[in-house]
Amino acid sequence: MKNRFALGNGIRALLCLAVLFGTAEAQAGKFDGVTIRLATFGGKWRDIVDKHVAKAFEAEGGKIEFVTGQPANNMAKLISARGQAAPFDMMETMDNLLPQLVEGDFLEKIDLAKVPNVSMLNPKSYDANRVMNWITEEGIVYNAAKFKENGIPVPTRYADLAHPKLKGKVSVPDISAGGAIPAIVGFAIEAGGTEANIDPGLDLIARVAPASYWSSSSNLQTQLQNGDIWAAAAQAGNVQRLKGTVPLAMAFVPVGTKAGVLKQGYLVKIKGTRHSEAVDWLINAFLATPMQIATSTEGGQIPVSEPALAELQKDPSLGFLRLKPQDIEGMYQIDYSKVDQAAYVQKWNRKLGRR
Amino acid sequence: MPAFKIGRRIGSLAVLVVAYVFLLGPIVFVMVASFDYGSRAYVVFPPETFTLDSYRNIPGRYWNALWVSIIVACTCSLVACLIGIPAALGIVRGNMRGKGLLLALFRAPLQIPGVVSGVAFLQAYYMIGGLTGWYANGSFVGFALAHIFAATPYVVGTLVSVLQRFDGALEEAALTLGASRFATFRQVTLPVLRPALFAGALYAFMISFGEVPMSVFLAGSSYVTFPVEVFNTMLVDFEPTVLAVSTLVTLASLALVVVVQYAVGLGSFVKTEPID
Repeated sequence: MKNRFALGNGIRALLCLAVLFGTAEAQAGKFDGVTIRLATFGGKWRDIVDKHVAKAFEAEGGKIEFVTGQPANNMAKLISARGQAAPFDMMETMDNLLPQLVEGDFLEKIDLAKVPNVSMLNPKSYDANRVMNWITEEGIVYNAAKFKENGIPVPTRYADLAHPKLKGKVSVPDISAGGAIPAIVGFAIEAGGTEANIDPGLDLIARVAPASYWSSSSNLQTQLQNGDIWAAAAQAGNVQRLKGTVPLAMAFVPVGTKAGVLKQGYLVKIKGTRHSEAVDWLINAFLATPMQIATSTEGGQIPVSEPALAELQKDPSLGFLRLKPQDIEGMYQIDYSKVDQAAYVQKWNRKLGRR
Repeated sequence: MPAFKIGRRIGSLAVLVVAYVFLLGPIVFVMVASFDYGSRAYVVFPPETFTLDSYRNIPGRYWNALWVSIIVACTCSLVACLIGIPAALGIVRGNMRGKGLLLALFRAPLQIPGVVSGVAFLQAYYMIGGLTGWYANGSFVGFALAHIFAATPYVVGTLVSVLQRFDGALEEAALTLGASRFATFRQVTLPVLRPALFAGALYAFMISFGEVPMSVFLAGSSYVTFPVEVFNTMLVDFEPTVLAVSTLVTLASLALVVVVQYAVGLGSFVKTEPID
């Protein structure tokens, strides 16, 4: 009797253990206890990433710690930490910093086999060092109503910003702004220069004599909204953000044989990360269709995955954007190997700084 | 009253009004604009709608950052005073050579651009971290050390200027009457230094609370100061909640001034009459 009782208890204990283990296994995520430090932009973008990427990662047991700041500031952190533990595991950066990241040997190879969503991207958009996750389309944003009212023709080239009726109504990105390099290169190529020779472009900007040099999107959007500025060298997202408030339109002016300039955002894996597989997983999550669509609908940038682009094409209100892969292919991509950013700043200060 | 006197009064009043509008205008602008939540992309002034949605939707990250800023600024203010008092006493009363050089050294942080200091601190923290395994960047200590570096010159500067005008006979009298050196310091020197000390502490707090150039490099995932959080947000996109939280910070600052007025008296901060 005593033995039978003991056996019964034993079986019950085993059953409990089995249930416990089973539950634990069912609840265990792929990345239990893994914390990834993601260097990315602040503000609304961080919230979008939190909603569409971090939450999915948390469901797998992981956690994202955001290190917010501009890519250049995060780059400074990487440089300072050289030879030490990396300050973050992955980073969202822009095309202009990629050469430095590669040359500085800051990047760890992405295991593309673990990022199946890259199959939805143009093959030129990724390699083992970087995966593109958004773009912006740069050109001339203009107030269509003011142009019509004042008989100003729709801009077909950057030089049209020098129209006498636009005097005091044009803005160009400041050299510190994210849109500066695309604008400078656009102006330069139109004026006969190149990425390596921006002097003609700076001379053209000087001829345009902008009323202001915008430093951030919010700064430009306020000026566009209150009517201080009628035209600006800027990205198409501004049209989207001010929709229903200011009748803005977008002109993708010719840049060499292309039209408009692309600015690209990339995800990179930082050398020294202890969670390589989790970073690959997160890169894949950034390319998932809901996050890609949110990139446009919530963030104002343009996604790069083809299903997301196809989805956005259904929205007629986004007709001012170039959303077809062949149209995006037809935009100018800056060759950053020819861009000397320090020289850009020096030349900018010399030619335009005193204005 | 002669016409020229009336004219002068009107002129003075006009200058006063312009000065107040210039000083308070941006604050009033932010406060009023914070009641419009209709547009998410730009500042609407005057507001087209009147709503408290901006206040209801203030993200938690602003509160966290505000708390970090307050704690760091209080610590910075306190430590800057603890460093500043002996430093100022030593510089003014010490018999060593090169006092001018020492004073220049204490003022040096004012000459160094914040961005340069930020990168230097970051590199120093990584170097120390490499040796000890403890990294100060992205931590409370990291922020506090950098902010103390930036704020201490203000405390030293205000104290030195008061000590240079300080009549040493007061201390000599106390010592002659039998007071100990510590009692003399506590009962004679410190009360005289108090206005300068309050002013220096307030400067230190303000410098720390509003510091951005160094802090952008030192911010980590858990520790971000309030102005850096706002800066990072505004660089990406405008959010009306920034106006709401800024309004609340402004109102809290005004409330603090009122509390200080009652508790300490604002006169303590601005007393400048000669010390006899």
